[in-house]
Amino acid sequence: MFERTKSIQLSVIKQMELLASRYANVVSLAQGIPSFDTPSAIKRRASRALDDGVVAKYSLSPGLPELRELIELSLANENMFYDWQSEIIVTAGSIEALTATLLTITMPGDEIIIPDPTYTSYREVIRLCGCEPVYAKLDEANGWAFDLTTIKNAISEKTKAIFFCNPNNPTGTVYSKEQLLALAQLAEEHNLYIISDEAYKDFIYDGLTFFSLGQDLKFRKRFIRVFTFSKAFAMTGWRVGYVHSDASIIKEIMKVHDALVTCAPVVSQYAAMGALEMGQEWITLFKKEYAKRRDLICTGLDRLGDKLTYTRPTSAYFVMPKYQGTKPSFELAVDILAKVKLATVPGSAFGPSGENHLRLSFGRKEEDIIEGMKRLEQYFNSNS
Amino acid sequence: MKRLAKIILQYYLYVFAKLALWRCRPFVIAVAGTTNKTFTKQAIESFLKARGIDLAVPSFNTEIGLPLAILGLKSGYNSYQRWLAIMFLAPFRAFYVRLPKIAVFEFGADRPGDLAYLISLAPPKAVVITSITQRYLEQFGGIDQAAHEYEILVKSVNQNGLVVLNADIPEVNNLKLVSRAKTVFFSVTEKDMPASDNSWLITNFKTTTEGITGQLVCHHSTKNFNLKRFGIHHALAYGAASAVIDNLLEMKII
Repeated sequence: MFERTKSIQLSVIKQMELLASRYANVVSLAQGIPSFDTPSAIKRRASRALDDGVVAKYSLSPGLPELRELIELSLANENMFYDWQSEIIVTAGSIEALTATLLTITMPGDEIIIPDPTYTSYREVIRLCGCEPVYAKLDEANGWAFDLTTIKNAISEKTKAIFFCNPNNPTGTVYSKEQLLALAQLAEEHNLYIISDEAYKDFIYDGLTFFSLGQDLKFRKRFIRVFTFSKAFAMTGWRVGYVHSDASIIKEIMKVHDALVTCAPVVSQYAAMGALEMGQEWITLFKKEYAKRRDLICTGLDRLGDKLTYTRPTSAYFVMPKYQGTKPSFELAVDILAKVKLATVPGSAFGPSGENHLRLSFGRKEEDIIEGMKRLEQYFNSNS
Repeated sequence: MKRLAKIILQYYLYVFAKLALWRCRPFVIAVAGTTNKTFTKQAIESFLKARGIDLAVPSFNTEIGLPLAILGLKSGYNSYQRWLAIMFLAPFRAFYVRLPKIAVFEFGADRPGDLAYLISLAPPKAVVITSITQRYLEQFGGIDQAAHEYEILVKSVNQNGLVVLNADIPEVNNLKLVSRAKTVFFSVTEKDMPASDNSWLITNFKTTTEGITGQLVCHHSTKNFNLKRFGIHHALAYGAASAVIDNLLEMKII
C-alpha cells in the first residue's frame, strides 16, 4: 500500500508475543525486557520533578543540561571523554538515537553492514532510512566473534557504516577489545562510520571486562555510541537513552533528533538523572540476579544436550541454542508455543545465520525460567 | 510520614556532620553554581592531590547528601534497614571520621534556602561560583532570585577568606559587589588580555583530537595546559582550580 513501509516488517518478537496472547497459561522467554520494576529511587526522582512542575514543558532539544552533565561524568568514569554541551544528545530510547543517527549519516541506497545474527529491529530501521542491511556472518564456533574477512568482503562502494550491538543481542556474547580495534581499523581504511549500541554493557559476567571504541580517541570522528537506560535500570517504558560522538557528528544528528521528537520525554529525563545519581546499586543487584538466571537456563539447556547446543552467554540476558533438524525456526517456535505454551523467538528473526536457533531470554523471573525450561524439555523429549 | 522521617533524618545527620566538622576543622571550599560544579571540584582536588593533600569526599551536594559525605557514609537509598544502620553509625563517625585538612564540597541549590542550610552546616572559607544559568529557575522565580541565593553564599565568606568567580557570566561577576573576602576571577577569553593579580584567564583555547589545549594567563605569567577532556567547561574548571590553588598558597593554607 505504501512504498516506504513495503520492505519493513513487524518485528518477529512482537509477532510471537501476539501469537502467544491467543493462548492461556503461556510462559514467555521471548521478550527481552527485564522482569524488574524501575528502582524506587528513580521513580521518586521523577515524582519529585512532577511535583515541582518542571516536566510539562519541552526541554532543550539535546536534553536537560543537568542530565547531560551527569552523562558526561558517567562516561568519564568509563574512560570515555565527551563534552556534554556539544557531544551528547538525550534521546527517546536507543531506537530513536539509532534512527536519527542513520538518517543523518546515510542517503537512500546506502548499505549498512550488520552482524548476523543481530538485534532484529536494526534491519527495519535501516530499511526505514531507505538503506540496505548487509549481513556479515558471525563465527558461531568462535563464540559468535566477528569474522573480519566476511566483513571486509561485505564492504562495497555503497557501504556507509558498520552497525552492531555490543554485548550482542541475541547471542549474549561480547566482542573483545582486539576484535573491536581490528574492526575500527577496517572502518578507518574504508572511511566508514561505526555505530555501537551498548544497551547491555552493564551485564557482563564471569569477570570479563568490557571495552568500547569510545575509549579510544583515535576513532572519535567515526564512532557513534548509543546507550539506553531501558535495560540497565529496568526502564524500558520510560523511553530514554542517549547518543554521543564527536561534536561534528552530533551537531548533524541534532537536526534529525529535533525533527523526530523535539526532545526526549522530560519526566523520563529526570528519571534518568535519578538513575545516574542513585542507580549503580541496582545495576549490581540486577547483574547478580541475571548471572544466577543465566546459570539456571544453562543448566536446563545442558539437560537437552543431545538436542540443543549453545554458546554459554557471557553478557546481556539472552542465549541462542541451536537445534538439530531442518525445521525452520519460525515454524518450530510456533509449534513449541502451540504444544507446550512456551513463547520463544525464532532465530531467523535475527538474520539468516539465526536459522536453526531459538532465542531464549533469561531476563524473566526465575520461576518462568524453571517452568519454561521444563516445557522446552517436554517438547523436545516428546518430539524427538 | 515519609516526609517527617526525612526531616528527622536530615537534622539528625546535620548534628553529627556538624560535630565532625567542629572536631576536624578542615578548610572548607564550597563549589557552587548551576553547572560545572563536579568538574571544578575534581580539578581543585587533582591540584591538591598533586601537592600531596589527600581528599576523598564524594560529590554529594544536597541537604542529606552533604552530611553523609562529611561522615563518610553511603546513602541508604530506599532501604529503611540501611538508613537505620546509618543512624546508628553517624554518632560514631562524628567522633572518629578523619576529614582532610582541606575539604572541597559541592553546594547544590535547586530551591531558595538550600545554600543557607549548607552554609550553616559547613561554613566555607573559600567559595567558587561556576555559573548561574536558567536551570532551576522554576523554583527560584527568576534569575535575580537565583543570583540572590549565591549572594548569600558569597557574603558568608569573611574578609580572611577567598571568593573565586566566573567573570564570563554577568550574574556571577556581579557577586564581587557583595564580597567581603579577597575576590578573584577566572575567564575564557579570545582577546589578548594582560595578566593581572586577580584574574586567571584561559586564552588560545583549542579542541584537538586528544582533548583541549590552551594557555593560562595569571600572576604575570603564562603557562600552557592540555587536558584529555572535551568542552570549554573543563578549561573553566582548570582556570578556577588554578585560581584557588594559587591563592591558597598565597594565604599559606597549603
